[in-house]
Amino acid sequence: MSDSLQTIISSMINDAPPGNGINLINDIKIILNNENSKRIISENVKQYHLNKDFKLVKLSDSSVGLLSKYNQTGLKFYDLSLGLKFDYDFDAFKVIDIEKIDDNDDDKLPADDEILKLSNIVEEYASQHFPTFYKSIVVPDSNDSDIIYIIIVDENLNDANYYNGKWQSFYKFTKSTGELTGEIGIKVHYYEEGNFILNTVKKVNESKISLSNIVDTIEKIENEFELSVFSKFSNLNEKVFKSLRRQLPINRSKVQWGKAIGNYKLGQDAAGGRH
Amino acid sequence: MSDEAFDASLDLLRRLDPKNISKNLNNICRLQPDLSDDLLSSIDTPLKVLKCSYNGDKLFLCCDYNRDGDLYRSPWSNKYIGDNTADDDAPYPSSHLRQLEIYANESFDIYRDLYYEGGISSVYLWDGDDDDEQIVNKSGDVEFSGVALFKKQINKSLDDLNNGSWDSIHVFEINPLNGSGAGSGEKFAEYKLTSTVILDLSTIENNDDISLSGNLTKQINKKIAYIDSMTHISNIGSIIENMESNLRNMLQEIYFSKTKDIIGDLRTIEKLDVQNEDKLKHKELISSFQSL
Repeated sequence: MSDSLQTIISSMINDAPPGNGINLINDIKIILNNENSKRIISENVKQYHLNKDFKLVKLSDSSVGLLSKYNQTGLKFYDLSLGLKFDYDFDAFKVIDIEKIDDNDDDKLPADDEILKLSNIVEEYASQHFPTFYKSIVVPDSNDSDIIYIIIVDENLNDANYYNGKWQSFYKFTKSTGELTGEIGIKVHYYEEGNFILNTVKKVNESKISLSNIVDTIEKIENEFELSVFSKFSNLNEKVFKSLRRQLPINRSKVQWGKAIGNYKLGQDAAGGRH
Repeated sequence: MSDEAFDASLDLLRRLDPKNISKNLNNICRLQPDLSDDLLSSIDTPLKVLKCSYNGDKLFLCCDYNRDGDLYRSPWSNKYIGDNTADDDAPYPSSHLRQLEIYANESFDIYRDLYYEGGISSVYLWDGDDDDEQIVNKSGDVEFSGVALFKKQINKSLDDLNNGSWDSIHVFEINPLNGSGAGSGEKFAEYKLTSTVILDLSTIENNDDISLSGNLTKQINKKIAYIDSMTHISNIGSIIENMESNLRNMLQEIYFSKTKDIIGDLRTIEKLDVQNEDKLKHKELISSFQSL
């Protein structure tokens, strides 16, 4: 059971909509109804946010941090632009233990001028395109200084109007080869009188990128992605939705129910039928 | 405890990705086997399709209301289809109700053809479960319930990467209001309808997928005059027709319009500085007009 329990919990957490984290986890806890499950759940929530769904967290009234495996150092998460380190309780969904990054720290952070400069340009880009609750980070790989990660997350949570949306961009840049790979995703959850989710993901794979054109490239990719999502909407609306069910029958009037309904069949048979 | 777990299960299924509703429902049933029956009858999932081997393999739709164990009753033959033979006590509609069921299936089949131009429909009716209940007859004065189901799918092809599927489930109760027509000669019945549409749309492209998936449920109660049992089918038919049009409009609004707005709020294609400048210019323009 424990193997399959693990699989079930992780598959549920992977299907989670943006926002709503605590309610969802409480539901799962009630369904499992056992103390041991608490640890399994929080471990799965943690892995989900570290690896797939990077999480925005409030560090103070005016500052936002981001949880991902890329800005972890030891047991903590770090934020270079804020100069802070913090921990997160994945059971209570709470930021804990915020502290200033100390330059004399044993686990000194690998922040050089190049990273900080790029971080500023990415931050400037994000502030121009993400109007709500967002965060961008630029961090070097912990082992390979040739690799830089760029993450932008934006959330628009509006439970009062029954919707939540999330944008997430992740890029991995390899300086020596000029390769930029990554993934951009949008999730929207709308749940008034029902349950609706939009899920879209685009893989990024660009070459001949340098530190000087990387943010322009990201802007171009993300603009194109957003426009292509809108054009897919109109395609699905025009081509698929309309041919699943018509708004009105072809004669543009409602069905005559009752005994006379048989006349439609007679009419069709006379016209050779559509079957 | 089990009530609490049931509510939590429903709540969870209202939040998790609706594209995987069947998988998530099965998983919860594995965790809480005692709740399985209640959950399976409360949660709508995309409809299963079976062939009626007693009627030229004509396709019919399956849900909890035509199920007995692992078997499903076909509306075309009134026989249970599946690997086993039906139990002796497997439920069937009473004799007049079965005649109404045939009539309802014919009517909704025409409705399906007019609106869906394809797809599959099935209607199932069942008797009220009161012991001292009269059996449904031609008068229309005896209550009964039913469900009308529709399904249509569009699968991607080589030159079209779009997929779509529509499942609609309309569960209704028809309660004749006894004595309502005393004197006037007109008889009324109350029609209670709960409708759910499950709609999945997707474009599957290499490294660039999009999926819009969800369900919407609405309820309505209506009091309408009737003459006999056949009037009930016309009345519920036109209530379902209006409800389905309504739901279709709401789905179009949510899937294509609301979602687009939410994405536009997440990320703007135009730079915010440019937007603000435009707003400022607009304001200046207005105030310069006002000062003229």
